[in-house]
Amino acid sequence: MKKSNDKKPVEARFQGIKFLTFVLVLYLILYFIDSDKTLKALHYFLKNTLSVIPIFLFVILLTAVINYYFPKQRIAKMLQGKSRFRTYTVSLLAGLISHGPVFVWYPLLKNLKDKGLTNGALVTFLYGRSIKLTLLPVMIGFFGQLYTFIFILYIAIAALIQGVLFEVIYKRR
Amino acid sequence: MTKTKNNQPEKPVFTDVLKKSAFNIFYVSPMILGVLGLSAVLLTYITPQQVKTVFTGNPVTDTLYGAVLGGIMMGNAMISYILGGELLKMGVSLYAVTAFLLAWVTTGYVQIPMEISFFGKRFTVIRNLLTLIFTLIVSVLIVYTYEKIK
Repeated sequence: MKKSNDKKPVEARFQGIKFLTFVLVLYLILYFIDSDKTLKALHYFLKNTLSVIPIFLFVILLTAVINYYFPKQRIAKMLQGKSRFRTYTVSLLAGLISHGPVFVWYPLLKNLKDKGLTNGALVTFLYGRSIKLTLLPVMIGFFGQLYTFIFILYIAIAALIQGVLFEVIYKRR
Repeated sequence: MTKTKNNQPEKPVFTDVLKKSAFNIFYVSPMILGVLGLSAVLLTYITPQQVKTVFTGNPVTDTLYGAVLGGIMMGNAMISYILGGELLKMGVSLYAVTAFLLAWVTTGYVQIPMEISFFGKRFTVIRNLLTLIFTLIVSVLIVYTYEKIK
């Protein structure tokens, strides 16, 4: 009989249950030590949680749009460019829109590498992944538009430079 | 389950993709709530003066400490944004917070063995060393540019 990962019990799919339980217990202990401060912390927690809910709703929508229009196979196709400049630029863009944990991408990237994807382009893709496009609303919410824009711009430039630099270093022995 | 037609996988329906995205966030919600809860406690109980004994405001040491802290921690990037935001409120310098955010998303020490198995030791070592150096340089550049434009 076949067993699928989707058949995992619902509670097993949740991340951080133990951590949340620990925090709840901590609140309980702290309440007996200093009830005023703990209530203040609880109030702060509720205020913060309510303020991030609209951001998360937007994140869900943005993630769905990207996952729908850019499935893994499509990104793989994009990475097989012809000119070097185009390959680096496309690697960066592919890194930006790629989703999920990085190790999920390793087999596919290895496959592309075996088919001629350069090490530099691979490095650019991996560094470009640190720009979390779907989480931009969260970042803007916490740090503002200007900071987020500068943060992303520098990562994008660094991803391209790192790719080229890696290629040079790697070829030396 | 995706239906097939002439052995070709059908394009998923958008509402299914949306539902999957919603569930992905829903499944990490205990972690997010835990982080929000813990940061609220830390913000209430730890004074800015106590934090400033580690993060003194020196751009060099703050960037280093932030990078080390972000590098050893792992998980969804949104957790780092929440924690980074709270560190700022505690009076930690933007240099430290930027290095923390950047190291969180760029360095993945836990994944190194897996990366080695796929791309080789040399590739992994050079890439991760470059990433660490870039994290420190880029963090300083981000804050410097931000302070200039702001």
